[in-house]
Amino acid sequence: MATGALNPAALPSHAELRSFARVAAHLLTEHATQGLGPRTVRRRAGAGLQHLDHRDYAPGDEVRHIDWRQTARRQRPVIRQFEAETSGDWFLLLDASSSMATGSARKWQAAVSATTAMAFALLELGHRVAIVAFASDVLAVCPPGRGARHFPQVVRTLLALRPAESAAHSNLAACARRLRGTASGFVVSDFLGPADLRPSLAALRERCVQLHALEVHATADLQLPGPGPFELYDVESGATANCSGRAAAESAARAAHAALLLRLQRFSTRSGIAFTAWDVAQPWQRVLVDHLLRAHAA
Amino acid sequence: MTLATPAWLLGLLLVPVLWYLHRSGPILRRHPVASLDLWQDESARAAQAGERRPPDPAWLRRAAILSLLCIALAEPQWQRPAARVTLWVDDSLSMLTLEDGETRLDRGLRLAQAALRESAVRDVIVRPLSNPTRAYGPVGTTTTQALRSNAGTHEPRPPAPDALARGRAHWLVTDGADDEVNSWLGNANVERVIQVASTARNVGIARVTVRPQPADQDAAAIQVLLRNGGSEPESRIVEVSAGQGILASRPVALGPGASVTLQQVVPLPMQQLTVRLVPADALPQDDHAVVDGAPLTMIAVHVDPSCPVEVARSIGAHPALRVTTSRDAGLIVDCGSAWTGRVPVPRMVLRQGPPEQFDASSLLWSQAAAGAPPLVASFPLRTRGRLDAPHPADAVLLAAGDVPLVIRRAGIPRTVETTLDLGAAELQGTDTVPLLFAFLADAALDASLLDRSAGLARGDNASQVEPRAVLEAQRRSLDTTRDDEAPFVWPFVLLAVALLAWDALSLARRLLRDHGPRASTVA
Repeated sequence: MATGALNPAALPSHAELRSFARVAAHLLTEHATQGLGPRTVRRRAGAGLQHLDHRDYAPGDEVRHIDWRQTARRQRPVIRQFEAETSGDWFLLLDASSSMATGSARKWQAAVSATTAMAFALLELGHRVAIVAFASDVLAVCPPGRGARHFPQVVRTLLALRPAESAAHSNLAACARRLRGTASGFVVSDFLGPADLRPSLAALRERCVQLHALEVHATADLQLPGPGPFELYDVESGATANCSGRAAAESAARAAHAALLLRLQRFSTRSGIAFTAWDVAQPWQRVLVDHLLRAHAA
Repeated sequence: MTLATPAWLLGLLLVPVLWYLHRSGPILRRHPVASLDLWQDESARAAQAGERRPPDPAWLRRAAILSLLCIALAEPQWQRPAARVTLWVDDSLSMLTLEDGETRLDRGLRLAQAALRESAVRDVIVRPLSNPTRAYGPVGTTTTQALRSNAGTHEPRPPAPDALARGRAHWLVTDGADDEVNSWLGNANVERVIQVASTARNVGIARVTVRPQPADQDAAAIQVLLRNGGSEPESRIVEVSAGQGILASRPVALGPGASVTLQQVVPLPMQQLTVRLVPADALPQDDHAVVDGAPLTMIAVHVDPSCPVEVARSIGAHPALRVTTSRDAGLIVDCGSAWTGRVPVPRMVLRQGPPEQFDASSLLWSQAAAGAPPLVASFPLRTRGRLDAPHPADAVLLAAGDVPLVIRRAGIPRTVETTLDLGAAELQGTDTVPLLFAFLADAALDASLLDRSAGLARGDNASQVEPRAVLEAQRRSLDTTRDDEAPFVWPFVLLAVALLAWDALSLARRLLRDHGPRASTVA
């Protein structure tokens, strides 16, 4: 296992980010006008809000948005929902658990690249972008910000991240309270955790206008180095298991991972989550564009 | 293969313990995975199938190390095939020197026997250097007695170095006092020398010679050669005796390695002459010499009465012959009517008949007539009678052209026949007849009667007991000089060390893999 903070050179170059942002802007803009997501209005930040609906209060909601009249009528806290007329809030949720840094840490590097690219593209479109890195708990938060001046802070947050070598499991639910108001979520994770993190995804889906899930995996992580026998240990839970047959074990691991992806895919389809499984051997530009295309088509 | 300390093999009982300690399987290679859930299927399947983890394969390597070390500690001995040894024994007179109560010969054989037993040599042949063709069995009582009985009778006659059997190892027992043996050892393929000599003092009688006095038929001159074969000056008294009485007694002093010749006149006849050194020393065999006087006794000759008178005169003038009328003669001169007894006695036949002349210029002496008398001017030119034609085995000693004059017939006893007329008138008063008769008598008796002597010769170096050199074998063969049970430990130790290095290398590699520095692939 190799972990460590990334250096700026490991991130996508500015030209790559701008190239991707141009493609992503088209997909994200069209989607905003046609889909469920927030309507994107360029260069109109700070304009007034229009009341859209009511919903029950959830922890983290701003108190000023409580509709006291409805609250008194329904006997429970109800807040007002507003249509975002200026821009949307995007929360990029980055899994920084120990499983993301196993093997050659290619998963972590790829996840950071994708998060950086998505943040750049969204900031280019005028959205407010927040970064939430999570493992067993929220590790780092880059508060929502807007504009090109916010991007360096995003980068600093990402570069400062360093997944723990062990004992840091994925707790996506810890991010839920960080989401405020109407926001969209973009989860980048390997979804290796209890029940494939599906309960947490379901809870997030309830709080987000739209939710994207990008599953990151590396085929090399499903291979064993050299002849066995091995003692496999889970970097997150610390559990161990013996493995004698290398080929059979690798084959079983590939099958188990394929089943995981299938479960996530079915769950995402049912839950209205834009889901993409990404083998880090593929370039992040292609994967993100494909993902946005599929989300746009949906 | 045998083991010097087989108790160490009990250490092999630890092999099952070694297996027990490794029964939990090999030390696994630790590998981190993102989620064990992905890998659980394989381990669960193995557990459900009841598969038992095999023991750590390293236990075999460690068991081999343990076994090899136990075997090495048990000191395995490689048993070589028994070598074949020819033991050459110097049985010269000096080997009979007494040292610490036993002769050098006995001590050398005893040491050789111990060495052969130590080397587990079972095929042993013993050969005396005085008679290399003679072979005895292994060193033992019989062989020792045989060698002891023949020792000192002959000087060593070592075989040619190239004649030594190549398929056998050759050992030598000697005292190093004989130069010939020592030089032979320098060239021969002898692998081990057992040299036995601790005494270096001896005076011995090397030679005794008794000769009749030409001028006095009743006396004989004796010569005694003494030699100091030791390294110290010595003095002895030489006693000469015949029968009960001592004829002479003389003190002698000799320096180391010196020789001296003593002369003495003794009366004849005598049956036996004894020469003795007083006091005796470590080699008593050469301190006395007994000379048989029989060769000096005059030979009785029975003469046919019909023989010429010159024959009887010639016998009377001969210092070793005497005329006898009795029938215990040692030689019969037959002129046609001699007594012929059943006892085989050499005969000299003088043919009789009408005289005939022959050409003296055609006389021819054969090679067999080595003792032919010098031709004299009054050589008889007449013959009497004829000789039968010689058989192939007969020797024609003298012929006149093709006519044989003297023939020595083959067979025992000898018979010499001649047609020479020894009674010719022109030979009267000359020395021709006595010389011819002496020649014919020598031919009939196969002896040189005019040069009679009795004596004993032990050889000039027979009394040499001081070793000439400290001898060493020129070639040392591993096959016969090393112990029969050759240690065979190092191969086991080296193999164990190699396996140990292999095991240590495996452990180091595993440690390096599990706890070594990790290269970060994150740029």
